Amino acid sequence: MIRDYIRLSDLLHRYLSGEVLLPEEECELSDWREASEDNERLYEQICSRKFSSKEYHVYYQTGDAEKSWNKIAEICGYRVHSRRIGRRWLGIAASLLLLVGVGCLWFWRSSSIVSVQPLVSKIATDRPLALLTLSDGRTVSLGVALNDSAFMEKENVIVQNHRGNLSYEGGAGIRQLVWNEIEVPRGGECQVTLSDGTKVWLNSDSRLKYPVAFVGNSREVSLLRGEAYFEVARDMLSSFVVRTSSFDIRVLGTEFNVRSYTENNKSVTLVRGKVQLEHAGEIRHLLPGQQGRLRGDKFEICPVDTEREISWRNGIFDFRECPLQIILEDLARWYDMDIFYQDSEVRNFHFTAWFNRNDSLTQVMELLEKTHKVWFRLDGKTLVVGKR
Amino acid sequence: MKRNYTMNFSDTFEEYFHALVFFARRFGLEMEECESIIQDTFVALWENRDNFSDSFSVRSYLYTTVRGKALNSIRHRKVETLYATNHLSVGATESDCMGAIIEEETRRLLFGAIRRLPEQVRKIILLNLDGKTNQEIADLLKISIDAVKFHKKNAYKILRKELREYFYFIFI
Repeated sequence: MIRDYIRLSDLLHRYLSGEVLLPEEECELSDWREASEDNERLYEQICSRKFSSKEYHVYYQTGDAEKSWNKIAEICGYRVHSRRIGRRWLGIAASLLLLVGVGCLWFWRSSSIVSVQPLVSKIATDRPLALLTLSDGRTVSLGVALNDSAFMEKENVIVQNHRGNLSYEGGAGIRQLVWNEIEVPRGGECQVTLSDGTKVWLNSDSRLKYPVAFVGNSREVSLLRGEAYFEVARDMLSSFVVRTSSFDIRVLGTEFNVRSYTENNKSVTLVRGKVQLEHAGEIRHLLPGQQGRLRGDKFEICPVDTEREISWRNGIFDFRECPLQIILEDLARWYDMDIFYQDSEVRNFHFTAWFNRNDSLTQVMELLEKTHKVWFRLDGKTLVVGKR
Repeated sequence: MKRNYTMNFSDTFEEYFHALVFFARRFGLEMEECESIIQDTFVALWENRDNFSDSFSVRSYLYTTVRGKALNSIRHRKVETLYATNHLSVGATESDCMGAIIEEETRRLLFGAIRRLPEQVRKIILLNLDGKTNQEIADLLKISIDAVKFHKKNAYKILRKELREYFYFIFI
């Protein structure tokens, strides 16, 4: 019944704000008003309601919100401080916990105890988000829970590690390129701020090679594999170049997403600004909202929904009319598993699906199974897919 | 699809705490009792957090739970002290409950939107709610009347967008 009242208050609000209600909604509202005198009285009362600033101040001083929240947070084990931390980090932390949860799930499964609850475990803190290789070959594993740290690179460049977010400072007088490489494993995510202020978000299963400081007028990095979102700092004097196995991308200052996974999964999506794409000697330009991609040997440019293309950056999987094979490739990277197709035909089944990256694998599988077209079975680290 | 909705727990608390305090108060409970009911309600919400498909269900859940707990504690008190409160209003009838929810939801939406305005703009809007004229507001805040008009115009734009469906003629 309370559901009805809330629905009614929404209807009332919309009506009072001058919004045109649907005919059936209007009927609902007038039926309600006519149903009783009390209702009509309430209606008039709401319409003629006057608020005052005093009421506003009293409203927010009534009840001790902070005390209550602290109590609730304590009982629920909800971290009070996390309210101040960026959502993105919460998301990453949650995903990591979840990954470990999923890992545990496999473990439990193999020991024939089925537990679907993602386990919140302390082990999560040890799992690296990424692996950084410094110019002298030293490797540093970056994790969420690791304390902030800083390393000295060559030529007085300082690498700051803030909860697994890297940034590079110094190196103004540097004359020779000094390279670092970052590798994000399956299930990881990482952000790097380069010496020019350019920000790069790296998706799971990706490798980026970049200089600790740029030299002269050239800014060049290599996405050796995977997917990355670039927010390039504007510099009219020097263009920024991203090299991948199939494209060279040249820009001044802009935002774009690069995907460079398997053969049929290579694309560049422009969000803002302008980029120049070069593939096998052919140069083309992209406008915002366009994607350049390779289909077999064909280099094509087409309009795309950028929001969807970069949904991974917002912690979302968003597939529309997408072949199962592509969907599962993404999931395999994120949930760190292998895929085995019992029926090859299902690879080309198309699905539209939307879920959060911190949903458990079980939830995602259940969602896809609801279509009654496919079934899934998790066998160790392998996801077996079949036709229904 | 079921999984499209993720509740932000602390935001939900911030958004609903005061509205629920007022709602619980209508049952004639002491402030401390109200707070403890609301705390229990949010703990229950947290435990059930995976079961909500949209913010609408969260809203119903909050009001339903607070109401149930409030009624419980009234009954409990009656048994304990044989003292029947005579200022019960919401618990008494369904129609009171409906009125209470509609009123609290109206207020929550409006005040929440005002609260999110920039400080100076919020001051102007609050004075405006009290029926002050532009000139009076300008004098009080020691700014020009054009600045008042400018801020008001912007505020309405924001509020209209914020409140979307909830922007009614409270502001004249």
